[in-house]
Amino acid sequence: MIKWLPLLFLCLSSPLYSIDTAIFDDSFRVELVEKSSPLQELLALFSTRRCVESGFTEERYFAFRKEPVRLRGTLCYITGVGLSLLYEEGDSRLLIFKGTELIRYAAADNERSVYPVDADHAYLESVMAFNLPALENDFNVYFQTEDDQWLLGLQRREKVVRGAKGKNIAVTSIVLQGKGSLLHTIAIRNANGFERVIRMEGVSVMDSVSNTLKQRYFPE
Amino acid sequence: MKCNRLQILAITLLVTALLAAILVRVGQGHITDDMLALIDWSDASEDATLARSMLLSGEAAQMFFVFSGDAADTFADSFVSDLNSSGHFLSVLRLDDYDWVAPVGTYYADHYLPLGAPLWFASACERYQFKNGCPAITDAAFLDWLSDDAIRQLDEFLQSDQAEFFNDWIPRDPLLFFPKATESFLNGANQSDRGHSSILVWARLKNAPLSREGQDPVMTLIDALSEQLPESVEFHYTGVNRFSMANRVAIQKEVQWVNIAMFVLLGGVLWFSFGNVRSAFFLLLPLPVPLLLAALLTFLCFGNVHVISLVIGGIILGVALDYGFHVSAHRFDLSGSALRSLWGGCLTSMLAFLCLVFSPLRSIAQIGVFIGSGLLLALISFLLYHRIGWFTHISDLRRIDLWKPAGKWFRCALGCFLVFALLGLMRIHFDDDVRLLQMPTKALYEEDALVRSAFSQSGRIALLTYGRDVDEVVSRASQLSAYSGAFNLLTFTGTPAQRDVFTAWNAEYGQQFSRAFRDKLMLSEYDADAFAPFFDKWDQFPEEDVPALIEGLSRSLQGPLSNLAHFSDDGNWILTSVSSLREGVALPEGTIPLDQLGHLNQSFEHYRIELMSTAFKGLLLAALVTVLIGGLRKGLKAYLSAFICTAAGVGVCSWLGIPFNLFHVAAALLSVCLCLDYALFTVHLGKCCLPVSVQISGATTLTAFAVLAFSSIPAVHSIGFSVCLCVGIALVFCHCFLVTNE
Repeated sequence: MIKWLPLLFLCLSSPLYSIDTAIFDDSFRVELVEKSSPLQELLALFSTRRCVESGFTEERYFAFRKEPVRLRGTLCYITGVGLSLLYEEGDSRLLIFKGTELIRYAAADNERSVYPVDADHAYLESVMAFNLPALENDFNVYFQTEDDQWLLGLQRREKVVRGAKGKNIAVTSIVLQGKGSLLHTIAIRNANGFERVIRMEGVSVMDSVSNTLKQRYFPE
Repeated sequence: MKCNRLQILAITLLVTALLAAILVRVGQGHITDDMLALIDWSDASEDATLARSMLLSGEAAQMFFVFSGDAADTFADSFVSDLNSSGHFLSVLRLDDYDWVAPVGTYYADHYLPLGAPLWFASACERYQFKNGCPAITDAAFLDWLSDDAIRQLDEFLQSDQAEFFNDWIPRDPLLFFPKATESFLNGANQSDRGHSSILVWARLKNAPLSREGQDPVMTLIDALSEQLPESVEFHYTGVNRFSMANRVAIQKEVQWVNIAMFVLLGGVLWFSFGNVRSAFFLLLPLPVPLLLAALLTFLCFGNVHVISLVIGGIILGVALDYGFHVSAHRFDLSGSALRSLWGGCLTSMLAFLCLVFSPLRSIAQIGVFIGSGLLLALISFLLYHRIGWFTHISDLRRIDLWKPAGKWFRCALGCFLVFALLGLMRIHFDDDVRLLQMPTKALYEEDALVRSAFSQSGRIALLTYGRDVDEVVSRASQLSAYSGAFNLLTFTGTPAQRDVFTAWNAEYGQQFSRAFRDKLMLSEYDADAFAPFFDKWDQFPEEDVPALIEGLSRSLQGPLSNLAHFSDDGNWILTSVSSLREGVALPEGTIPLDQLGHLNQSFEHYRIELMSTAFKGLLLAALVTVLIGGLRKGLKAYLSAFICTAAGVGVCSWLGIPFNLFHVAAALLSVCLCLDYALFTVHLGKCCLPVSVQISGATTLTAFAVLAFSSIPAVHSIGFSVCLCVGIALVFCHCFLVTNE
C-alpha cells in the first residue's frame, strides 16, 4: 500500500463525514499512566482476548461521492499472529497485517503479494490488539464511557503537513466504539480527507484458535 | 670472438637490470587490467555504439542490493546514505522510498490528459469491440457504452486497496489515467506486485563497471559496510563489476600458481636435461634481455599494454627456450642444416605471430608484437651468445631413449589415427563464449540469481530501438507492443497509431462524451460538480507537441526507470523489455537485442573470425618462408607435417566434443609454429631418431602446456590442452614419419 504514497501530492480540504469529533474535546483526554481508570479496566479486559472473529461492513467515504462505497467481509484477529481482513465483495481478497508485512491474496488467482507495511496501516493492527501504549506515541488518547458503552478517540499528536511525501494518507484520527469487551466500530480518517469506517457484526471472542480458522485467515 | 664467462655474466646482468629499469619506467601506469581495454572501439556502427554505451554505462553500471530481516530498514537507510556520499555512485536509492518516482509522477500529473487519453481510449475500444463484435466506434451506442464503462471502472477502482490514496486526485481524473500510469511505473520498477517484503536498493555506478575505478573502491566500501551488519540482517547484492572483480582476483591467483608450477616443472626438466644446475642457468641467461626488449617494443608500439597480453605472451615466449636447446645441442656444428632449421623455425613463427598485429582485438595484436619480436630477438640472442663462446660451458644434453625406432604397424596405426582425427574436422563446431575468460564462481551466480529474482529481472529480454529523432524511435518502438509482456515508455503514453485514433475521435465526439459522462456520474451517486476540474480541462483539450511531451517524460524518469529512454544529440533510443521474442519474426528496423552476454559473445565471434583469417594469411607466409629456407622438398614436407599434426589435434578436440573458440585458434597457430620447428629439425637432422634438441624442446613444451591444461580458467585450459595435444601428435609423427634411417 505504501507504493502509492509519493504520487499523490494534491491536497484539498475535505469535510469530515462520519467521525463524531465531539470525542476530541479536552475534557475527555486521558493519560494511560492513570491507574484504576475505566480505560485501564477496559484494557485489562481486552488483554485477555486470544482471538476475535467477526463479520464487517467497511464504508469508504470519498470527497466526490454522495454515498460511501460499501464492502463486506469477515475479519479475524489473533493475538501474536496478526489481523486478517477477508473482503468478500467486489475485488475479493484477503489482506493480512502480520508484523512488518502486509500479505495480499487475490481471490481470482490466489496470487500472493507481500509488501512492507507502512506505519499508517500498522495502526489498524494496533487498534485491533487494543495496544494503546504503542498508539500513544503518535496519538493523544480520549475516552468517554456511559454505562457499558464506550468511545475511544485517538488524535495524531503532530500536525500532519499535507502534501508532503507520504503524508496525504497519514492517519489523523481514529475513533473506536464498543460495548463492554466488544469493539463495534473503527473509524479512521486520513489527512487527504478519506475516511474508512469498519462496522463489526456478530463478533465472537474465542480463547483458543482452531486450525480451520487459522488456515482460513492466515494461510501459509 | 671469445669472452670471459664472468664478463658475459656481468654484462648480461647489467643490461638486464638496465632494461628492467627502463621497462618499469615506461610501463609505470601503462599496464592495464581494465577489461575495457580489451574491447574493440573501432566499430563505429550506430547499433554497436549504442549497445556498447548501454552495456558500459547503462545496463551494466547498475548494482542491485537486497536487505531482509528485522533491522533491515535501519541498515538500508544508512547504507544508501553512505553509498551516496562515497562519490563512487551517480545515484543510490531505496526502491520503496519513492522519491525517485515523484518527478515522473509530477510530470505525468501535469500532462495526464494528453498522455493518458489515447491509451485509455485504445483500451476501451478494445474492450468494446471484443464484447460487441467489432461495431463502429462512431455510433451513439458506443458513446453510451463508453460512459457506462468509465463509471464501472471508477466504481471498481474505489473498491480497491489503492483508492484511498487518490481521494483528492480523482475529481481531476475520473477516467483514472494517472492511477493506471502509476501502476505501470511501479510495474516497470518491479515494485507493484512483489512476492516478498525485502528492501531493495538500486544504484548506478559513476565509473564504468569493467574498470578498476568501478570495482576496487566500490567493493571495499561495500565490504566495510556489510561488516557492520547485525546478524539479523540478511544482505545480498550483485552487479557486473562484482563479477568482473571476482574474476580478476581469481585469475590473478590462478596465474600465480600456474606460473609457479610451470617454473618448478620446467626447472626440473632443465635439470634433468643437463644433469646439473649450472648448465640450466647458462641456457637461461641469454633469454631475459630479448624478452625485456620485446616487452619494451610492445609498450612503444601500443602505449598501454594489457596485463593479459603480458602474461599470455610471457608464457608463450617460454617457447623461445627451444632455440636454446637447439643451439646447445649443435653448439659445435651450428651451421648448414641446423642453422637453416633454426632460422626457418624462428622466422616462420615470428611471421605467423606478427600477422596478429592486424587483429582487431587489441590484446591479440599486443601478443603478436610481443611474441613475434621476442622470438626473433631470442634467437639472435642465443646465436650471439653462441658466437662469444657461452655455450661451450654447457654440458651435453641427455638423450632420452624412450624413442625406439617406429615399426611398420605402429606407423600404420598412427596413419589410421591421423585419418580418423582429420575426419573430426568435419564435425568442428564453434562456440564463442566470453565466459571462457571467467572463473566459474558458483556462489556468485547463485547470489546474482537470488538478487535478480527479487528485482524481477529474471527471464526478460531487453530490446534497444534507435532512430534519428523522437518520432522515428517512437514509431519503431511501437511495433514492439505486439510482443509478449512488452514494457517500454509507450506503455505510459500509447503508440502513435493509438494517439491518431483518439485525436480523430475526440475532435468529433469529445464534447458529446463529456456531456454523457457528466450525466452518468450524476445518476451514479457521484457529485458531478466535484469533477469540474476534469470537465473544464477535457472541454478545452490541450493541444501539445507530442514528441516534446514524450521527451519531457523520458527526462523525468529516474532510478531503474531511467534506462527506458534517452533523447539527446548523443542518440535517441527506447528500451523495451519483453517476455519472449516472436519465433520466426524479424525484429523491427532499428531494433537490436540488448543482451550483454550475447553482445560480448558476438564480439568474440567477430574476433575469432578475424583471427582465423589473419592466422591463415600468416601461415601462408610461413609456408613460403619455410620453403625458401628449408628447400622445396624438405621445407614443404616439414610444413605439411606441422599442418597435418595441428589439424589432427583440432580434429581430436572435435571428436571429444570440445567446441572451437578464439583461444583454440590462437593455440592452433602456436601449435603450427612449434610443430614446424620440430619438423624442420627432424627433416634436416633426424637420423635414426628424433634430434635430442627436439626431444628436450618437446618435453619442456609438453610440461609447460600440460600445467596450463590443468588451469580452471577455460581460456587457459583451451590453450594448454590444444597445444599439448598437437605437440604430442607432432612429436610422434616426426619420430614415425620424418626420421630417416640414413
